Amino acid sequence: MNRRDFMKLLGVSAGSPFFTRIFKYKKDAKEYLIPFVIPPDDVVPGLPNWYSTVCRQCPAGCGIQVKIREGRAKKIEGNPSFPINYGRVCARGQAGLQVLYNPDRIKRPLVKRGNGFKNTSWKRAVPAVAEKLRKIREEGNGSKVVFLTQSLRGNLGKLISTCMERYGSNNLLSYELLNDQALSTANELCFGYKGIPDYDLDNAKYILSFGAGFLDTWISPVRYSVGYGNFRDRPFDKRGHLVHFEPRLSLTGASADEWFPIKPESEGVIALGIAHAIVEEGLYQPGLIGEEARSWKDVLSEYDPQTVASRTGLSAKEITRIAKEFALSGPSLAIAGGSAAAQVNGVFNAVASNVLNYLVGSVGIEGGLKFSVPSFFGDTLEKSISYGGMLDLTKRMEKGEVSAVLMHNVNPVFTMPKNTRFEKALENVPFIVSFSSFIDESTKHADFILPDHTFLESWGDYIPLVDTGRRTVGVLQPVVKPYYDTRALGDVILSLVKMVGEDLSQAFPWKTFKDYLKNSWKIFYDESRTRGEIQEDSFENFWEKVLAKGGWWGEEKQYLPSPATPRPEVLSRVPRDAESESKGKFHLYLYPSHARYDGRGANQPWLQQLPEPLVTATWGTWVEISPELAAKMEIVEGDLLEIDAPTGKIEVPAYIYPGIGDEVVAIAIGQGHTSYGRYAAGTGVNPLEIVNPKAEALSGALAWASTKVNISKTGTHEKVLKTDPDKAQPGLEKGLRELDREIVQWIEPEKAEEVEGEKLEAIKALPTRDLKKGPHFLSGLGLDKYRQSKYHKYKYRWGMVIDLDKCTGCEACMVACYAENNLPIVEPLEMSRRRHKNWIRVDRYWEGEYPEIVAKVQPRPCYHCGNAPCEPVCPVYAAFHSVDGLNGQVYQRCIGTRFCNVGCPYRVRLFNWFAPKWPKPLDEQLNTDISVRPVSITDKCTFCVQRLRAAKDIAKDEGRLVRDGEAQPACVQTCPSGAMVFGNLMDSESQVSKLTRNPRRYRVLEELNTEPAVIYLKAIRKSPEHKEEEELSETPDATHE
Amino acid sequence: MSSQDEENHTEDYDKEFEGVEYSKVTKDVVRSLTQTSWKYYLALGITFLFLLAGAGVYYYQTRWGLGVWGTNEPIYWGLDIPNFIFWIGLSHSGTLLSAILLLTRSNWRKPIYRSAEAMTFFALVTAQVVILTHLARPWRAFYAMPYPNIRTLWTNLRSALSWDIVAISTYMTLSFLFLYVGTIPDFAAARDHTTGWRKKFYTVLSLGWKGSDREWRHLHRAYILLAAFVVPLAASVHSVVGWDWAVTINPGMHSTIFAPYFVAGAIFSGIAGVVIIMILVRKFLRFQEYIKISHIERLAKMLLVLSLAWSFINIFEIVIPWLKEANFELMTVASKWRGSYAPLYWTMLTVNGVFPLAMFSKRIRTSLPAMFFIAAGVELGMYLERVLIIIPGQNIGHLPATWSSYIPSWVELALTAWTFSVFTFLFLIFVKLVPALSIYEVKELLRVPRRSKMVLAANPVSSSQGGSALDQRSDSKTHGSGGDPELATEGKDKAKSSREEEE
Repeated sequence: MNRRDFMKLLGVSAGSPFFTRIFKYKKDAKEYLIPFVIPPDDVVPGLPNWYSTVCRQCPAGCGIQVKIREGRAKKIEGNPSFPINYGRVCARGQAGLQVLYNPDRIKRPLVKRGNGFKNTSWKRAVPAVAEKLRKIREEGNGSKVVFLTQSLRGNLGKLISTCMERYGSNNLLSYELLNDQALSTANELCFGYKGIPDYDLDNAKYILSFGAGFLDTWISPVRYSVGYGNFRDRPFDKRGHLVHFEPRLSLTGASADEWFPIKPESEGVIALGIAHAIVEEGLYQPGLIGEEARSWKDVLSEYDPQTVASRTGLSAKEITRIAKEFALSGPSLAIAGGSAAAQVNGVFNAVASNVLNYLVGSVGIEGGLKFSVPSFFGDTLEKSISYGGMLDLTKRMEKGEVSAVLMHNVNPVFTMPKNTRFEKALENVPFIVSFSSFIDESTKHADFILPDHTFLESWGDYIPLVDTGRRTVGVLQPVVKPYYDTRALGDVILSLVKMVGEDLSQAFPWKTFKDYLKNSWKIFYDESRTRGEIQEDSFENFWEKVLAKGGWWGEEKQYLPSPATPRPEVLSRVPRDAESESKGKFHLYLYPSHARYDGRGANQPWLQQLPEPLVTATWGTWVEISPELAAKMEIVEGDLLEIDAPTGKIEVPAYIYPGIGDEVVAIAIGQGHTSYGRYAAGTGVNPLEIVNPKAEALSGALAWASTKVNISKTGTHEKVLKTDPDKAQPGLEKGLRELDREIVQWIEPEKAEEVEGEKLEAIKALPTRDLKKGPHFLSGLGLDKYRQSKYHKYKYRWGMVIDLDKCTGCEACMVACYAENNLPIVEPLEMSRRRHKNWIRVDRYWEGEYPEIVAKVQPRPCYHCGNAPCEPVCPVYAAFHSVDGLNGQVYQRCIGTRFCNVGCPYRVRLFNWFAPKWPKPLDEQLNTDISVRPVSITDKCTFCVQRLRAAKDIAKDEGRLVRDGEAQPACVQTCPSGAMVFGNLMDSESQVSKLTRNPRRYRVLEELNTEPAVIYLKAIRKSPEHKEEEELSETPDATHE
Repeated sequence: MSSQDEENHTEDYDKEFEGVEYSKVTKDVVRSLTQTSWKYYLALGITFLFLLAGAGVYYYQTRWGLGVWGTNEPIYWGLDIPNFIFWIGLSHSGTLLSAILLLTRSNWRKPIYRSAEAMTFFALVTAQVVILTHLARPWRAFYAMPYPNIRTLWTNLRSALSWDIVAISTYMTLSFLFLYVGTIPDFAAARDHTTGWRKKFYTVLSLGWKGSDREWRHLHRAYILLAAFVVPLAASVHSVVGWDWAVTINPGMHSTIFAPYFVAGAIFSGIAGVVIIMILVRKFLRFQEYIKISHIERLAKMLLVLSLAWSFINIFEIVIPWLKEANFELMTVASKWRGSYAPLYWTMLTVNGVFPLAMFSKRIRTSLPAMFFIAAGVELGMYLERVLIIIPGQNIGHLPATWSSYIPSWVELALTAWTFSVFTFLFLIFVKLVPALSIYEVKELLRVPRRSKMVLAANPVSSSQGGSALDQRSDSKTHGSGGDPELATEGKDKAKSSREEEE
């Protein structure tokens, strides 16, 4: 090699990284410096567009609207007209954006190579899969192909199932861990109605709930929370009364007027005990005559209150009282579900509750349970599979009778109990294709991953799990362009079908799933138009309207009459064996985590950092044990306990939970992923691993609430990452209580009735420091001029009313706030240092002792005090008072003395300890209307000032004041039960002003003279002390009788 | 001055200093400036290393944010604020003590006040460093200064922090002036007895002091005036610091007793600081002949009185919430008595309230090791007291759902060590640059030397004020500006040897 060659070589080698860089850049370049030189017609830069679609974070199927700014999804809010959730969304719904922008999403098709995956292209992957499927079919094994999905209640399900049928397999199976099969079975037995009726909470007056956490995660929590809001929000004589039976205090229990901690698996017995009392006292509905009444009496004879009392721990007196109240204060409603339905005797429990409804005549009436007319698309178009079915499938897979499994957003490896060996069986399947968006435990086994769009990028429709009689169908439309190289499942199915066989290709002529969807809707349009139900003159108009509305539903509520009535024999037909087989001292009570649900929320950091309601723990798993048990076993919080079930062992740190009995230990489902992205993997423990793999006999549902375990200390310690005070600190035990401060105030029902109707003067003059009045000692600094300007007229004083009677503590407000206000992700390490970042948080206080214990919850945004202690302490005016009464914070001005944080008695000012981090592309969700706060400054709730400002700008342009309800903070907007109301306190006609005249109003720590603009309404409940007082006063009466 | 004073003064010498000559004082003090042992360099070197390491930690904290601390919601202040109060408190005795004793003409202050005043000033400088560590965005600290700007933004004068800035900067200025003005004649003396760069250095600092009668008169006027200003200021500074917490409405902080409580605590810790400094200065600068045990004993008596006052206020602090039946404030008390703060609390009570009682015994008062131990204990106790005001006050707030706990991280501990290294470093530099013992005021305590003919011939002065001036001058006259051959050569040798040591 001569010198010249050497120099050339040197030049080339020096230049080559540069060239590859250029090529690479061109190939990957996805960014546009100027987004829209000529913007699309409907896009005005700077103004958001809202697109309607359907939330798919759980099977409930609420309607949502997504805020789009310059092509990026920024915020999810409820669709105001959608007749399930009426504009409200829960915490999980709010977090939907983190599915779209999740940093661990599968970005392109993958093919299995060794233990990992290799990138491939659609061009290669789809034919490869098709080829394989074609071969299987040609070999005559078509029927051995299984398609497993999550709940797909719409045309996608229909397409897949018809495709599968044509292909030769009848195996489109949708599996949900938290399903309604036990209930459906019970309803079919009692009423001949397969499915879940509409529980009319909105009109019910007396509700008996057996384990149905309808304000937590059960079935359709937002729909029930909306109903619960109405259930509470009535004049006193029509106000609802909720009685809740369950082994562990849930949010529903905490919201109940009466909460009864019961022995696990005794729900049905209690219900029948109450039924017995009703029948004995002759309080049943008048329609029940002669023979039938007698046979009911016979059937129920073994459930006399004394027996029931001895079996359940409730007193006979209580049972009789509840029976009387239930029968006499109609319309009343009994609901069973949740853990009650997920036991070995789940169907029995559900049937017992149905019997109660029937006996008092609550079936098919306003305020009772009603049977919705099937939706416009008829049946739900899906074939859901029970746990029993999954066990069959496991067996078939083990035997090699399954030649291919196609999976879509379903994770049975995680949700099936470990010793069903589902994972082993799955490994036995020769060909697995996954369409999931994340590499979860099941997808990990796939040979091909053909990632579907997330629900925010997809076309589709969805029939909500429970309907309110409006025959609702929600429509999904892509709100953003597909973010990655993913393809809609429907499209992939259609292209697969074309390649698999000629016959199939002719049967499915549609090019894309969107065409198929529109075609289905066209058929529906044509039919309905001939029937005169639809007025639109063309399908295109109709379709546009459907997309704008977010679906289609009838104007009038329509219900079916009860197809059948329960016969007394039904009780003998269901197994009521309450004894779990597995031996153990403690009943393992599992419950779906409020945020993580059945585990699918675990990869969303907002849901990881969201404190579990009542527990306040984040990021991880804990086992709840009662204080007595902890004292007996000398367990302190954070002690790692070994939970020992016959089916396996797990180690979980202890959390001492006052709302649970001695013989029960509780664990939340949802954590313990080994795969599923950086936030989920390695966080916590999966309790489903040790669940007794028994199915409920009739329905085949997994009895995940029927496991018995032993617990023992391991001697090691693991911190529970939580936001409530550390109980291990001696001297601070009282910190869990309110002491004498009356922070969360409850009012006894009698007293509330007494003061009802009293109208107090509205709290209006909140800005106590009228800057206009008198010389300010800062006059001369140019402030006077500003004060006299025309913009400063005190037209607004923003305020909020939070009705604690309606607040369920569901924490939807917190996630709404995360999304709206660019709150950073708090990672476990930061959480272990107790540095939560919640502009609005839900505080929880305990009162009383088990079993008389109550949990009081209270959402706490910044109070925007009129006389704020945080403002005068800031030396640089970073904390200031705005003209419309807000406590502002000028981030640029803040020098980080943290004096305002310390000055605030409510501790709602938060400090940015580190620079916030959003792993790409989570940062694309950031709200462009407000700033991203840097490190080392204090920030706080602003009442969503950006929204107020936008509304004020519009109002100013139109020369008027902001209308009531026109501007709402994100938390108020999403509050499912409608507990929060926001508005202008200076306007005496605003809703918020009217509410401040309510005699139940109070402000937290009023004695500090801070003049908060957040006014609470006392919850109408009995506190434990009140109960005690009552018992004392009752005793002489009893002797008198 | 009245003639009676003049007469008295000639007899007004301290018997303890019997036999000490004027020239010896100058010689000893100059010796303390020029002669430097390896121990000093070692100490300086170690302190400097700490200083650098602390600066590194400070950079680390500023780069990443205060998340590196052990603070959390709602304990936003860690050890930074206790450090701040500690150093401000420590600043309270030097100048205050010196000024009060000057105004009350307690002559025993004279040998000890210089170091004590220096302690004040350096403690205040250290407090400024603490403020920089406390601010999360120190590069914007100037926002807190009132300066004219186009945004017409002023500082918030309703903020206690703004009061702090005014009070502390005023106090710092005045204590610096007080220290400096009182040192001018000594700079002149040092000028006259040193050579080389030192001479140039002291020439500048002595502001051309000649020791004329007019200069002495002005000096004393100014000195008395400054003293009269400093006393109320010192009391107000710590009142303002106390109000910082009292204006917040946190239980355990929101109390009207805070101003006197803080002032008493500050003087308490300050006197303990003086005791420590005096014992160290006495030992390491070999000032045993000037700083006598009796001085320490007098400080001990003051320390005892303040310890009792401090204990009284502490009892008061518990009794008031108990009388009010303020459950919440009692929770704060409970957390200190038997909660997680109990070890700190009981240590504080022991070292601040119990150990000082030993000073009722004269044997303890006159024992240097015992006094050092007690004073060091008081410093520890007072540091704990500040921690126990700041941390539980934030922790046990009005809403129990927000309660938390706090353990400082290594960063806060390192920064605390850093503040000590800043103070020590400055003080070490000080003792080598500034006469740590007041030459002229100590001379005022000495018996006026018998009038030798030579002196009389040179200075026919009869006023007492002139007395010291006379001596000053007589020193310089006698020996000339470095004219004393013995002293001069000695000085040169020392300078040479110290240079060699440096090399």
